[in-house]
Amino acid sequence: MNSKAVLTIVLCWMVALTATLYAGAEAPAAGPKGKMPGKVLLGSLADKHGPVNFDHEKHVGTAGSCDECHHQHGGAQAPSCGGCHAVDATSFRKNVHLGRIRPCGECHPASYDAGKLDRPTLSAAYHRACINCHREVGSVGTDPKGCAEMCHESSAR
Amino acid sequence: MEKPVKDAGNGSGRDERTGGGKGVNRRDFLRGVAVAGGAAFLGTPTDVQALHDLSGWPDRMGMLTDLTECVGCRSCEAACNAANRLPAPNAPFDEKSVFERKRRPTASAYTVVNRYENTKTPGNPIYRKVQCNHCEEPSCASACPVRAYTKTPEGPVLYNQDVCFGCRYCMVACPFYAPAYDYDSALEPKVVKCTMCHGRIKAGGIPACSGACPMGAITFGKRGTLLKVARDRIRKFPDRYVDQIYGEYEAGGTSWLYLSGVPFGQLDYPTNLPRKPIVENTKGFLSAVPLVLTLWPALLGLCYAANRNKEEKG
Repeated sequence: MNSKAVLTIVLCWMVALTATLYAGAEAPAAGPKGKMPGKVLLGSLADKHGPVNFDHEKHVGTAGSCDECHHQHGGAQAPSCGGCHAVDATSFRKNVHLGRIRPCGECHPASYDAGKLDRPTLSAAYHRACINCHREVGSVGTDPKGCAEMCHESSAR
Repeated sequence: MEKPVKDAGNGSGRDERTGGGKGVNRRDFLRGVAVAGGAAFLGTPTDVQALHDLSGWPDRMGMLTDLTECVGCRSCEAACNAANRLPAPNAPFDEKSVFERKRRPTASAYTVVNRYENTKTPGNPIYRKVQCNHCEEPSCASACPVRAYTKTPEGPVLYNQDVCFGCRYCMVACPFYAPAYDYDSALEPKVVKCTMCHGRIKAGGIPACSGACPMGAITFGKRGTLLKVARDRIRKFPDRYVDQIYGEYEAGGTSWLYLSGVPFGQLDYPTNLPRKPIVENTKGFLSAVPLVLTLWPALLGLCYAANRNKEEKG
């Protein structure tokens, strides 16, 4: 095996690794001490509207604390203990107590779920997290322009 | 109109009257037949009693609108328009100038969103979605002379155009001003109102407005569950909500429930409605009518006969 072949394999491996990391960016497993994502592509629900290329880094600077968007123990956004612990107590203890932020979709159902009426759907949770700060920006009606003004990529639909 | 199917009330009573043939002599049997026949023919007292208790329909559905979440995007209006194949509106659904006046549902818009000043956090307007509330005991149904309205076991109150002759008593009877009239079609009377997407519910789906709301402000579910969810929200966030679920008791309760951050009176919700169903206002009178019509002629006839006999003897 010559050096060129080795170099090619290594390059391929790096490209594949980068792609995997990017694909997994929607559920960033940020550790307790940083490793926060820069940009997050929120696209799992993209249907009528394109995905949202969310600039996480920018919001870290402008939002007061992580709690502004993420549930954290004792924070204003925190649901009741039973709201999460009953869902999956083990994973909750492992992750939240270690300061890890879990993907929103772990608790918020992606579509209507009659058994989970006590929590907003994933789409509603995303929209609330953004719109409650950015109220009265753009229009959100049937016109895709309104939704694309602020957040959504206009390519879909 | 389909008769409510229940365990209690007239059903069991009828069983007692007609069931068990043993040990019944001829006189008792004839008396029973007469009573049962009379009740079935007149119908009124048992029907009104049947209306009062919906416990036979524990799975009836409802909607919970959280006014603190609504941002006035009008996606619900757009979704309703599409789902019901209504005519296109004059202005597109992202037009905000419609908020300059308070609107009512019309023949071409089963639901509308109105904007109100927020007295609690000025600058963050409150948006109120208006549509038929699908009362537990609908006064439109009781006012309708031809039974064009049906309270379905699933929760929605439905209107049947085929029997309607356009008297519009329902529009007068509704405490929420929900039914609208299609004034453009003079020869074919048509009252229009929200159906709570009954067809979609029957097919296992959810109402269009609820599915379209980006903020999750309109929750569809069993009415009983929604009441629990609403109470839970008030308990967890007492500063966010006023301590009232509008629709829990108003006019005997409605399928559509509301949570608000400011008193409901500030948002033009009628606050003077009785806790008892509006149907009850006429219940006493209406149930007395058959008694008066059947008993009084008989009694007066007896008196007359007795007196005539006296006169003849004397």
